[in-house]
Amino acid sequence: MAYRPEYRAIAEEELVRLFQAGRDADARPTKDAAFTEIVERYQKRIYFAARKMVHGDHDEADEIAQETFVKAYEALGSFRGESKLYTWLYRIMINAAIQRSRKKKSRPTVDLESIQEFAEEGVTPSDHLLKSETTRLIEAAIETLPPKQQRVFMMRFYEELPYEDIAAIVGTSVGGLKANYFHAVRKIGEYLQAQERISSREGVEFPLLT
Amino acid sequence: MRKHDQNGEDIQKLEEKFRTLGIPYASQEPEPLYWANFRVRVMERIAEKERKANWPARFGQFIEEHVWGAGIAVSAACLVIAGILWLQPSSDAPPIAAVQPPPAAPAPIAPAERQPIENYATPGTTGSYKTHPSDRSYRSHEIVKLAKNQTEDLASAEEPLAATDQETPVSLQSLSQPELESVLQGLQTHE
Repeated sequence: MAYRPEYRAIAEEELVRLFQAGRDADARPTKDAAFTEIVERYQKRIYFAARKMVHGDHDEADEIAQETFVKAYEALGSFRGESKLYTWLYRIMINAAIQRSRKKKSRPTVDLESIQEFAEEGVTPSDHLLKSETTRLIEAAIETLPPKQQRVFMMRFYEELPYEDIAAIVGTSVGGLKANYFHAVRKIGEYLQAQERISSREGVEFPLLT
Repeated sequence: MRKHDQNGEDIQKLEEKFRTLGIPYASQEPEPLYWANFRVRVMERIAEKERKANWPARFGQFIEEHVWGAGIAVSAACLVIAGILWLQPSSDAPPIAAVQPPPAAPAPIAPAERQPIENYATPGTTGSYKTHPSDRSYRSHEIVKLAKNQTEDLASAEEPLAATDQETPVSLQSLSQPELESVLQGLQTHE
C-alpha cells in the first residue's frame, strides 16, 4: 500500500500532477501514493453522495463509491483540471449510480442498530425517533420526485455544486436546470405541507416544520 | 421581475426548512474501521483490474522472460555438449587405427606340385619356394653339397659301428662321382 503521510499537505492540483507524472524529482513512484491521498480526501463525500443516490443503502453506496474511485484511477491520467477534482469525481459517481440503478432498485431501510448508536451517544430514544421521523419525511419527499429531479436536487441542495457543473453532468442547459431544481424544491415543500396537515389532523406535531 | 424575486424568496425559505429536517440517508455513518479499509480495498480492486486487463502483456513478458531464456539456455547447453563431443571422442566410438586383418593361412600345396627340394627347405618357413627352371644347375650343385654333408654325417655315425663290423668300411670320399650319385639316389628312394 503506497500511502505517504507527507502528501496530506499537498494541494489537489499537485496530487493530480504527481499521479500523471508517475515519478517525483527523486525518481520515486508517486502514482499510487498520490491517488491514495485523493481517495483519503474524498472517500466520505463520495460515499455519502452515493448513499443519497441509493436512498441510504450502505452496501450499494459502498459499491458505487468503490467503483467511482476505480474508474477515476483509470481516467485521471487524462484529467485536464477544467473542473474541480471533486466535481469530476462526483460526475463519475453519478454515472456509476445510474448504471447500477438500471440493474437494481434499492430502498432505504431503518434498523435497530441506529437506535442503539444514538442511545450510546446520550441521545434519548424520543429525540432519535423524532429526528429519524423528520429525516425519513424528507427522504420520502425526495423519493416522490422523478429520478432526474432527485439527482439535480441532491447535487444542488446537499452537494452545493454550481449550476454549470450540474448542467455538464446531467447534460442540459443551465436555464433548464434551474427550472428543474426550483420545480423539485416546490414539490418537496408541497409534500411536506401535505404531510403536516395529515399529522395535525391525527394529533401528531411536527415542530420543525412550523 | 417582482414575481421572479418572489419565487426566489420562496425557494430560499423552503431550502431553510429542509435543512432543519436533517441530512437524508446519513443516519448510519460507517465505523472508523470502514474508512480505514476503504482506500485499501480501492487500491486492491485497482490492482486486480490491472492484472486482468494486462494479461496479454504479462503473457508476452512471461514468454520473453522464461521461454526465450530457457530456449537460449538449452541452445547454449547443446552447443557446449556438441563442442565437447567434437573435441573428445567418446569411448564407445571405434578406434581410429585400422585393425590389421589376421594373416591369411597359406594355401595348401598339392602333392603333385611339390618339388623334391622342398624337403630341404629351412625349418620354420611356411611359404613355398619355387625355383626357376634355369636354376637347375645351381640346384644340382646344392644337392651335391648337401649330400656330401649328409654322407659326412653318416660316416661319422657309422664309424663306431665299423669297429664291430666284419666288413671293411668304405669311405664316401674314395667314391667316384657316378658312385656318389647312385648312393644319393638310393638314399632318396629309401626315404
